[in-house]
Order: sequence, then C-alpha cells, then structure tokens
Amino acid sequence: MDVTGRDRPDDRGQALTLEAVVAAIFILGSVAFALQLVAVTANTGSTADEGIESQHRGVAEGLLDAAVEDGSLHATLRYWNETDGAFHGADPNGGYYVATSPPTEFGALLDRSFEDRHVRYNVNVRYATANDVETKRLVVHGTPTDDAVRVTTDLTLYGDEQLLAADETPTNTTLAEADFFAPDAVPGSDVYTVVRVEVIVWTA
Amino acid sequence: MDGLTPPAGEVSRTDRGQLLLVSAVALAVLFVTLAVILTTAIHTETIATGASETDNERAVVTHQASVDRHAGESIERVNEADHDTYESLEADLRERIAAWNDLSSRHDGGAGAASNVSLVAVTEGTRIVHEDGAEDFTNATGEQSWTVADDVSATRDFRMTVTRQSLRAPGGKSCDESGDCFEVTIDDGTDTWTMAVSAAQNEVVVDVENTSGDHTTCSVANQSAEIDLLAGTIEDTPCPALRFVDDVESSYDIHYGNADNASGTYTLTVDRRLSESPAVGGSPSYEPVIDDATLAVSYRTPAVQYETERRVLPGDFDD
Repeated sequence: MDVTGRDRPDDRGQALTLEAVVAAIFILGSVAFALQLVAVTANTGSTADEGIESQHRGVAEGLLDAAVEDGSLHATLRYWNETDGAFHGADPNGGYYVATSPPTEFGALLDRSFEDRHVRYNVNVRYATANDVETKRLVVHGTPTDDAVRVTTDLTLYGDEQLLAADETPTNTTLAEADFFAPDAVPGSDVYTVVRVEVIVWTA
Repeated sequence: MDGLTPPAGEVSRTDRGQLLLVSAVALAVLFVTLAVILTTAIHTETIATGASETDNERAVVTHQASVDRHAGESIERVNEADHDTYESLEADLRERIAAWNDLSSRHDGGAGAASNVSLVAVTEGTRIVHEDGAEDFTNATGEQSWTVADDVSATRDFRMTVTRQSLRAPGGKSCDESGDCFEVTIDDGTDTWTMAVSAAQNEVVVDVENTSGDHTTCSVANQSAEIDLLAGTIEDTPCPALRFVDDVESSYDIHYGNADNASGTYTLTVDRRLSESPAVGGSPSYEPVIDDATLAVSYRTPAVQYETERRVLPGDFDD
C-alpha cells in the first residue's frame, strides 16, 4: 500500500461510479416523470370534464327548448293539487318529486333525456313574491356536485289558465282562483306571474 | 494507519461523490416540483376559461327567445281582447310588456344580469270579420263586387267557410264561362290571381287561376268547406295553389266578385289600418288589431352587453 493512499481510489472508483449512476437515474427519472405529468394530466383530465359538461348542457338545453315549444313544461307547472298543496303524486313531505320524474309528458321527456343512471338532475321553479324571488323544488335527485351544469328558461303563466288534474286533464279551477305555490304577481292583469325553470345536471 | 487519511493538500474524492448524489437529488426534487406547479397552473387556466364563452351567448339567446315568446303571446291576447281603438290596443300591450319586464328583470337580477324590455312602436293592422253564417259575402252596403282590403303588404290570416248550398253550380260550364261564381281576386297592380268557388254535385269546388294563367282545381265532398288561403288547405286537405302569397307581389288589393253567390263566414287579418270604419251592425266588421310590435331589448352582465330593437309578430309567426 502506498503512503499517499493511492490504492484507495480503486475501491472508491466502483462506489463513485455506482453513486453517479444512481444520481443519473434520479435525474432522468424525475425529468421523465415531470414531462409525462404535464403532458398527460394537465390537458386530459380537464378535457374529459369539459366534454361531459358540455354534453350535459347540450342535452339540458335541448330538453328545455323542446318542453317549452310543445307546452309540456307549461302543463307540468299547472299539474298542481291545491288541496294537498303539492304537485300530483309528489312526495308528501316536500310537495316535490324525489328521485323520480313527474308523471307528465315533461317527466317522460326528462326520463328519455337522462336515461343514464349515473346522470342526476334537479328541477327548480323560481317565482317572484312581493319582495323576493323564491325557489320551489319540482324534482330532487340529490345535491349537485361542483361541476354541475345549470340551464334555465322563462315561462309566463296567465290567470285564466287552468290547473290540471292527476290525469293531466284541465280542471275547472283557474290559476287566478287557485291556491297556487306562486302568488299573483300582477293583480289586475291576466298575466299571473313569470317563472324561471332551472334544470341542474351532474354526473353522480 | 497512515494511509487512511488523505495527505493534506490533495482534494478528497470521497466528498465529491456524495456531492454528486446530493445535487442529483436536489435537481430531481426541483424538476418534480416545477412539473407539479406547471400542471396546476395549466389545469386551473383550462377550467377557468372553459364554458364561460358559451354561457354568455346562451344567456343572451335564452333571454331574447323569452322576450319573443312573451311578446308574441301578449300581442295575441291583446288582439283577442275587446279594444275599439288603436290607442287602447297599444296601451294594453305596453302595460303587459312593462309587467313582464318587471318580473323578468327580477329573475335576471338574481342571476347577476341587468335586463330591460320596453315597447317602442306598434304597426297597426285590421281584422275583417264576417261572422253571420247565414249572410252572404256582400259588404255592408250590399254590393256584390267590392274591395275587401286595398294596398296590403302582408296578410296574417285568411280563412273562409262557405256552405255548398249557397254556391253557384255552373252546370257543366266552368266559372270562367258562366261568370257568376263567387270569386276572390288578388290584384297586385300588374297581375291578378283569382279563386272561384262553386258547387258541383255534392262537392265544393275551388278553381284557382294564378298570375300566369294556370288553372288548378281542388274540391271536397262536404256540406261546407273551410278554405285557408295562407295554409293552402281546403278542409285540412292540402291545396298549395291556394297560397296566393307565394304568387303575387306585395302590395296588393283583395276583391270579392259575385259576393251574393256565397254564404258562410270569413276572417282575414291584414297589416294596414284600413280607412273603412266599422259599419254599425253591418258586415263585415273592421276591427283594429296590432300587426307587429317593435321592442327595445337590452341585457347586460359583467361579461356581455347586448342591446337591440326587435320586431315581434303575434303568436308563432316567423317573418
């Protein structure tokens, strides 16, 4: 063995090489991980969310437009049982439909549009009172998630329109006379009120 | 043991080996952290700018569609109500639009938008109604050849129901030859379009001569026939030749000829205030109606500003 300890580098050489290789693996590995993370996660995740959201929005918009056009939404708003103070066939606790669609044409349209069991929706009706705008629930399937989509439309109700009975035929009671969930916002005119119907859709 | 410690002055390669590893680990951690930060930034930005563009457009389109729908319904209701003057028609419509605006802007306010709708102007129209089914189609003074409406640019409605018994049966001759069938003539100044209504055996026969001189015949075997000149149907059976609006230029005059040779009812709505005043108790009656309304619509959110003047027709008409 040398006095200066020149033999020592032979042993150290292997250890140093090993450490250099490990260091290289660390760096290359982290670079590869970093590149893969940015390329894949940042774009793919949000694109998928956006795609589903715009799909829900498209379905909900189409559904509402169709329901307004053929009058089925208007009919469902008048599907009110004034003796019970609730919609016909609704859950007695809240007066709205829980986990099911209304037994009307609009309800059938909702069922057809949202056949996928993973898709949930709520339907609310907003109406004006003397000082405020209140919300009447029509259909409740649960609590919406953060990425839920909300689509609205406005409808005018007239005082001379009739409430519908449980079999969807007109009764003899007009909105002006009935005990309706919304008050007469324009007394003295045949316009009863203007409601905003909102449909909230999300994936469970 | 002298060989264990390196001599003073010589650089220690053992320390350098660990330095390499430590700096490699530090760089690796740096890369991963940078990657995580970059990913988060991109992700947040993608979500933030996602659907808001279409949200704005959709909100404006929905608002405009609601305005159109309500205004169309209101004009129809105002026209159905009993109004004797154009002033009271316009006042009624203005009130309805204001009431709707009040409620709708409360809904919009809750959603963070400022919206407004108001009535700017109306176009006057006239509805000509003959309701007594037993009476013939002569005018209030009994003339059998008379002008129902002149200088019309658009007809919104033109329906008549004639009873077969009242019609002439030219007996083998065409209406052209016999010359005494009840006729509706549309004259646009250069050309004329004629519809002659007659009876044959057990049918009501309609013979249309268009502006080029071509004849088309439609008939229905019935005691009475409802002829809709805008839908182009006779008792709900299509007869496209009846659609004179496809054939004549605007503006045109509407005449009746041989009006004593038809009885029944008719109603037509034109887009002009006619100078005829309603003959008391006479037939037909000329009623004021609103032909269309011009509305000023505005809709404002932090992201979008929309203002327009919009013309709305009653009911479901498309212009």
